[in-house]
Amino acid sequence: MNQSLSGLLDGMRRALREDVLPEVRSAHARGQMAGVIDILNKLERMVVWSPDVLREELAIIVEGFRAIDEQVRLCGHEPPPPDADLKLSSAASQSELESRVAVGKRRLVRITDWLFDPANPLSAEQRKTIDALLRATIRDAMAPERRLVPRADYSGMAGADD
Amino acid sequence: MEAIDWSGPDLQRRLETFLREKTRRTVSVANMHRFSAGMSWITFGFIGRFDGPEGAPESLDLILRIGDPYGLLAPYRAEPEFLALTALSKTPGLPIPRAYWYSDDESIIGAPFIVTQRVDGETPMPWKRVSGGQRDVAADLALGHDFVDALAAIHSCEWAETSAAKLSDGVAADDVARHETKRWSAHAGMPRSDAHPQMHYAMRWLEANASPAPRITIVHGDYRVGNFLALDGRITAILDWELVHLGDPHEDLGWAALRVFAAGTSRVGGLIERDEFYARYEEKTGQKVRRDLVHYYEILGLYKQAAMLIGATERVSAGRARDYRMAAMGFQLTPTLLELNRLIEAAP
Repeated sequence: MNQSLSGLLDGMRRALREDVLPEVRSAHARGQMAGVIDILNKLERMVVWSPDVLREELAIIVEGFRAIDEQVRLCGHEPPPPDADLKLSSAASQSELESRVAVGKRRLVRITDWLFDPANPLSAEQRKTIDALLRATIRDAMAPERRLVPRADYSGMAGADD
Repeated sequence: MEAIDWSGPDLQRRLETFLREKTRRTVSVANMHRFSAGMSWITFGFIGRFDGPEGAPESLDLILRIGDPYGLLAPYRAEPEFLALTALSKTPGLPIPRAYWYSDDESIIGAPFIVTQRVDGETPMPWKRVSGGQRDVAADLALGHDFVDALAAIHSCEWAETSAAKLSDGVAADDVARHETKRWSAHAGMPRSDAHPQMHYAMRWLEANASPAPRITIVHGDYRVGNFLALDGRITAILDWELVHLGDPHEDLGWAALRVFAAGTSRVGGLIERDEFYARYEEKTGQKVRRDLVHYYEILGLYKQAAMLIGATERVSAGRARDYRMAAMGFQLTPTLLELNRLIEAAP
């Protein structure tokens, strides 16, 4: 997830306090709003992110690298190496997982640069094969997060005066 | 940055002073009210009453648009919109609001702004129709025809002898695609060490596959359903010119056709089938639509959209957003990047 929980909660509290509450006239509605803000204040310390999505994302990236590296070597070249180790212990913490996924993403970027470099020695056909593997890895690594994201309700957000 | 209060009488007073200096008449501003829809410019409606020293008293229904320093695409400039609306004001068959005055001097009301005519109409939203209500195919098609015709009129404008020539930043036709890619890369802070691999891949792909523009036209920059007003089934005004520039007309054709604006249909903007859209555009402009370029600009359009989502997320994180809907936009980054991946895969 590219947004921090604490940033999201801060924004929610600010929007409710500064933009919504001053406009709410009913005492009952103001009481309900105060209750919501109170819960938001507490949520940040109570929530624990599940590491499952990061684990799944990392496994897809590692498998993608295996296929890309194998293909590059079959073409007689050496792929750009990672800038840090991707190996992970089974008891890895959230921050270790995040750090490994970041290493994996940086390597995807480096492979992209290598592939698009005009000086790249690959033939057009070799390039096409590796390009397809790279695109598939990038795509598949987004799938775990995609499953978590519901569609945005822009209709509700468009406001009452539309 | 300190938040500026545009809700009180101070704005009204500053606006009256500005209008008085511009018109050299006595001016009163009344009925100021804010519209809530946009996440970019802040929009107010108001009545401007003008009197003396020459001419009859007149009352104008006006719109004030302010480039919010906390807005989605800040920092803003009002001049490009003013230049484009002025250049296009005499274009036959193009419904646009008349642009009266603008200023990019932040000392006047605290941010760049433009004053235009207020046009009657409502904003048809494709996603609203999905969530409720019946689709009126004939009405959509009538709107679709107006939608194509207005775009054809914009792209047919002989801009070189108009105020729009000032929009030129000296970029040659060979380089406009790369120039737009760079512009949106910069908006997303690219290249960057923590770049999302899909963004980085798309940037390299767009650079490697950029083609020269067949011709240079005024490009609206955000031409889509949601950015025009309609009344009685006809478009009354094309709005939201903040991204206007000179470039490849296929950029508008690609952006308008993005699936995200199609309300789950195969039609452009949910209104008109693609083949009909392009055929009518060709008939109106006398110019061939190159499908390969439309596809390229759809990819650039999604890249631009992803850049906007990244920008919105970072504004929220840095406390530089006043509108919490920007945080909701951040959640759409992954679906957008997946669509980007799919479109690149499908490139001819």
